[in-house]
Amino acid sequence: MTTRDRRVRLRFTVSVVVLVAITLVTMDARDVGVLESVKASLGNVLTGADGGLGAFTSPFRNAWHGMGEYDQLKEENARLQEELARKENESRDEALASKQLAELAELSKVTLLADFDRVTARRTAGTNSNWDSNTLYIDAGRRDGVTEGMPVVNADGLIGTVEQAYEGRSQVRLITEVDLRFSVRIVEINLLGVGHGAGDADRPWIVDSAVDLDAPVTLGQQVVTSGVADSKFPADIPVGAISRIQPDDAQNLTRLDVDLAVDFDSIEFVHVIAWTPDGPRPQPGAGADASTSNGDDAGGADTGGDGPTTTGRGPADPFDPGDSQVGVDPGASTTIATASSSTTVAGAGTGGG
Amino acid sequence: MSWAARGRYTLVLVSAIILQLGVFSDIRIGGVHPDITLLVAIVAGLVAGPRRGAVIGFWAGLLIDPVLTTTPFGMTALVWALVGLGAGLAEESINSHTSLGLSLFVLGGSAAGSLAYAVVGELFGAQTFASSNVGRIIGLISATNALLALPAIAIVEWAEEDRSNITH
Repeated sequence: MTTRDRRVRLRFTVSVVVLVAITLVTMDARDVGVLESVKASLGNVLTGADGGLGAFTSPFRNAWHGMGEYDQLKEENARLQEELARKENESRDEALASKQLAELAELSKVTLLADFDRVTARRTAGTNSNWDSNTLYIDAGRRDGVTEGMPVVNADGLIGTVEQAYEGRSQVRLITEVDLRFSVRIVEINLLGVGHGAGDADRPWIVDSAVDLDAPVTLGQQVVTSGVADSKFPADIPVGAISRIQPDDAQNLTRLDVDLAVDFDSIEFVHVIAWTPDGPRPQPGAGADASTSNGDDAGGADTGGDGPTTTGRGPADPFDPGDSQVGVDPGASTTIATASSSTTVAGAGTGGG
Repeated sequence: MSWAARGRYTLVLVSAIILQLGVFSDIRIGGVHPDITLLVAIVAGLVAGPRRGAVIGFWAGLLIDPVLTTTPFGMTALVWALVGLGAGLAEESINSHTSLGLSLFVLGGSAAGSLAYAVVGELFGAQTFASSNVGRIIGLISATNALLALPAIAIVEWAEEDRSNITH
């Protein structure tokens, strides 16, 4: 074959390959149904938490983690044992407090976060792309009752929201995502604001709307989800603490940096709360009996411990960016966080999890 | 290409995807994992020339695309095909192949490929620059791929039926 023939073949091959790739990109952009199905099926086969791939490769991954994190795990184990002993001592007081809180909620007709069922799930292999630090996968999906829009939390606070629920796994969009804006409340001064992530868990979360220049914000104040009408999240899930205050004279606003409550590098287990922005609200006291608390404080269980905070779903919040498709529920009651919950472990009936 | 060679390349690609998703995606150094689909594209171009590099790069990208949810389906295939092509064209200007030289070639190719991926991703709205530490990611992908270069070359040479461009 001559050099000229080789060049012609090369050009032809490259043209075909590039053309096919661009066609696929275009079809994907237009959400062509067949392509979406193929993508979902292949994704399930390749990354399904209950698939054979994970079982086949887990010894290698475990060996790697064992080598790299042995000392850390030893320290963590010792710390956890100490913490467990302390928690056991506190459990009696907490059970009493939970019971009193449930009674109070019943009397004041507020909805506890614990009234929502939750699914406990394990983080599977993180994002498959080095270029996407705002996604993680969990081993709970539609068969466990998980649907798109449900909040994902752990004991420290808010992690993100379920972006895509598959049969046995879900894709979670982290609150570190730049485009995921939602309203929050600064607990100490009961002030609403709107913020978003900075694209990376190493960077602070940013509140850049709705906080006036003269707002009495100080470093260390706690930031929680607002739970106002049409919000993407229920109320009082911890987001973080204010770490920096920057006045923006041009816009007459104060920009706040918030150190995230959750350590995104060490997430292992999460809770998916059976709450969606446009879903039905449970009646007060309809969920798990608070007196049967299992001590699980995920999802904003500890919001300061200074009594019930009613942020409510009353009037629609003009600052809230997530309100375009969701109507206000006039009958919705207010929401407060608490420690108890009805918990389902993902895959409990299927051998997964 | 013979059917036997096609079969061997299929085996190489499927193994690479399984290793990438099952092992390497969880082995993170500084928060970054090796990208062996990119490595396969570069090494295919290096060992078998630009045409084979483009085709193998395309398939490597296409197989990994379904699990990359923030970039459009087909984008990785497009970029890896061009990376394989570029690696093959660049190899034509190389006269000698030492182990160090080959590793450095893969290092440079991985850096260029990762940067190209980030740029194209940004063009497609994937916020690759906004949401990540670009320099660290490119550096670590390149370094880990360079470490894996020689075994990868041996594997692709096996798939290529000893018709390698590399002189030992």
